[in-house]
Amino acid sequence: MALRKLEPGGVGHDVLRRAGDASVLILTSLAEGPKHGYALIQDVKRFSGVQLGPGTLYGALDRLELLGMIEALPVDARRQPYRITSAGAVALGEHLDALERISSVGRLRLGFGGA
Amino acid sequence: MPGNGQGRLLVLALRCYPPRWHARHGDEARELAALLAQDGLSARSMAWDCFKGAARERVTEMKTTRRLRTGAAALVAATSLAAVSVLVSMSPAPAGAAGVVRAEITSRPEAAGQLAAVFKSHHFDIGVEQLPVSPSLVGSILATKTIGHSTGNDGILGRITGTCAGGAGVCTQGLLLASHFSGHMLVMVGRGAKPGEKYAESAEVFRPGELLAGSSVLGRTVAAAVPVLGHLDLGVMWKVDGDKHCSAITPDGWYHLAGGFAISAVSICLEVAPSAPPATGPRG
Repeated sequence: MALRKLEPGGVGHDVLRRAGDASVLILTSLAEGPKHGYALIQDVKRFSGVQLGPGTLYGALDRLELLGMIEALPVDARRQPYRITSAGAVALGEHLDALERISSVGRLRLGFGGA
Repeated sequence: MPGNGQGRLLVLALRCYPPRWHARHGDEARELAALLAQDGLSARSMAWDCFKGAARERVTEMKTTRRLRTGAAALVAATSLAAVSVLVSMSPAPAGAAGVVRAEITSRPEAAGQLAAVFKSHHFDIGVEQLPVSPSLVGSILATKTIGHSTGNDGILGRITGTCAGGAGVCTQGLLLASHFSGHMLVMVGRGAKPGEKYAESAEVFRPGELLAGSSVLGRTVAAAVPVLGHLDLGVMWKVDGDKHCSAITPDGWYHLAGGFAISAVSICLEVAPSAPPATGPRG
């Protein structure tokens, strides 16, 4: 018998740790407000320098929607806008906290001082 | 979309996606590719990105319908996708079953019943067990347990997350299951505790919805916290940094409160540490 804990989400729990970089970039972009695919790609490139392709974009959008972290809004001129859900916002916040902790440790160990 | 050879490669790549994907994203993806091409992104890189995306879609679909039993077979199928797409002419690839069952809790008080109803309607051999939990975990999925030599967790494709009761933290509010899942599994769901009943699972006691939410004692010294806690009708136990068990002995006053959890609705165990308190307050 194998017990598989689903980690109910205590402080510091990071549900996005295996979601992939594209998912985190998309959630970060949607944290600003709803966007459709092309606007998402442009925004992500602007703030991260990462160029998402259509395959990566739609794959990540489908995964995030299945997980309840984003939701589709009514189609606007053939374009499908998405917005972040409250669960997605919490998950993104916890993931960014986790990255910040890693960043602090890394900087300290490299001798750059505290983050 | 670009009309040269690279453009045709991109068209071919988009054709590799299953019909379900085309129905959802097809038109917008073509328009998006045209806009990105105008921005200077090469059709070749977009085509490669779409080939990879289509392979992932196909492999996911194959997994859910159990057409492939081994990872090696899935890998072969994915890598041979492009060749197959050329051979099956210009028509869309055959549709696979969507294959995903969404078992989601939409009402916390009815969580167990809602999940059981979905499992029953799909003839899954999945039981639901309710466990007493601290307030913010009520109506959430705590864990899954596979039984015997079944395929077990292979049937779980993902989990649906949402905010916990109380409005903070991330809790599991549902499961995405393969429609052909045939294993034997138990899903544990949190329920409110009866008077005097110990919690089987507890969230951080300072989280919104929990016993000490908004109490402001987190990070304070034991000396400062004890009078505040004295006003609450709670049995308080302590766990000094590194201890495995909670103790009734109050630590020295200079320790700081670093966390804690509820044992039941009327008793808590607070964790203390000798170092300075964390810079930030409790997160949800």
